[in-house]
Amino acid sequence: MDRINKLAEKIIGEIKKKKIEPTSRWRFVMKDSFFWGIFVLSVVIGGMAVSVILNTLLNNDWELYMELSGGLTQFIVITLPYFWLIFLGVFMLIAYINIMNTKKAYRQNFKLVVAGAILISFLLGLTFYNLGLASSLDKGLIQKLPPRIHQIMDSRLGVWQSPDKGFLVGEIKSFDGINLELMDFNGDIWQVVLSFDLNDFELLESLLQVNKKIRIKGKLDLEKCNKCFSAFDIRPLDMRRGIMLKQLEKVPKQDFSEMKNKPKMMERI
Amino acid sequence: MQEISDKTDEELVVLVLENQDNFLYLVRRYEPWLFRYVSRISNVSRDEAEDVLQDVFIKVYKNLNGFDPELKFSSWIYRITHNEVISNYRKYKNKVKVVSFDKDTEFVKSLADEFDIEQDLNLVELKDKVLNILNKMSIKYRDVLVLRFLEGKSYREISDILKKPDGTVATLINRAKKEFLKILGKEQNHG
Repeated sequence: MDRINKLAEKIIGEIKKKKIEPTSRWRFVMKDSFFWGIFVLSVVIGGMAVSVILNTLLNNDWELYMELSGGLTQFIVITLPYFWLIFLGVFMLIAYINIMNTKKAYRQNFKLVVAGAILISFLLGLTFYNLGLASSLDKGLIQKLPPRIHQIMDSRLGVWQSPDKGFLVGEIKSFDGINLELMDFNGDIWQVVLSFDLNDFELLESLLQVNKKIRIKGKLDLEKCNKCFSAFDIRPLDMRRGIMLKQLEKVPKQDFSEMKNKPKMMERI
Repeated sequence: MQEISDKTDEELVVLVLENQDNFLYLVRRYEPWLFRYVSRISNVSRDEAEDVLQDVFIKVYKNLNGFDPELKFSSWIYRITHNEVISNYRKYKNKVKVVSFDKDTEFVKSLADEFDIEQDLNLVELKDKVLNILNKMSIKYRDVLVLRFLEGKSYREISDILKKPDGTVATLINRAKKEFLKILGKEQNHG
């Protein structure tokens, strides 16, 4: 008993000597709130990643998989949105670490916590996708990134960077109504000639704007020059036709009056 | 009027926050339990165990406002002690190798019963055998066996102390038992 009292006195003496005070309650509340806050933020960011993944998968060029990669499996492997899957994984990990630092979270099963975070992110992702967030994120942010980074974030673009196979992707540098100058993701400048008939000028003027990124299906025209390409089909980077056409209506018109006088026919993409 | 020493842990925490001198009651109440717990899981000497406890109680005092009343106070204070021992374990690991379990007859008997160790051994032999096995176990398994069979903690309490889900605690205890029996088997083969 003496030993216990001696130790107790020693501890109280130490507390008094070092003027130790209990940490304020608000600090503990703040700490717990911080972990919850980061958890919620991570799940929301995870939801955004899911919406981009959905956008990528649902609007992939499924109808062109044979031409683009030679087989469905190869196409899936090549075009899977790896960047966003890793991004999602990182934020799920952050969400997990933070939730496990909150009070009593340790009582929950590891698998359930991870599955719960993924499920919430998935549901949020579905909601974001339906609200058009993925498309806005793609147009407002991802497409404006430097080509190299853009290509990392959107693995589908890699398969379109194959002029030999008849696929080209890049940013419009100039367009005079017929001839188009395009800078691909490697920084090379291409002279693109439109080889299809045009009759939908609204679509054309919306699609072929300087600084806009497009995908082109066509063939190399080595007879003309090393970097010449004949285009049969031009697509915007946004894969959803519905969204694309809806948003085209909002794009300010440019003057293509000269072109309108030419009797050409254009296929809708 | 109720004596301070008769108050519940939770009531005592409130009193300590009002007057630090009341912390003496909490230290006196838990010191014997925690001293024994530290000694069992870390193999340290008496002086070292006291040093550990001093650090533990200072941490307890500093973090009193962080105590969640939905937890048992004993689980909370054992958790702090467990963390303190684990974070300093490397330091102790290479020091004292033999633990003095002088007053732990009950613990030894309860473990011997659990693992069906020959009861024809006298108490001294039994103690030697059980303690020898415990000393050969890794700290994480020794820890759960001590909490379960010496401290008599429930699975939920061990879960709160180790901050692990109930299922993981059950798994840990099962694995600890298996390791105990494995070492026991080896000992018997050599014997």
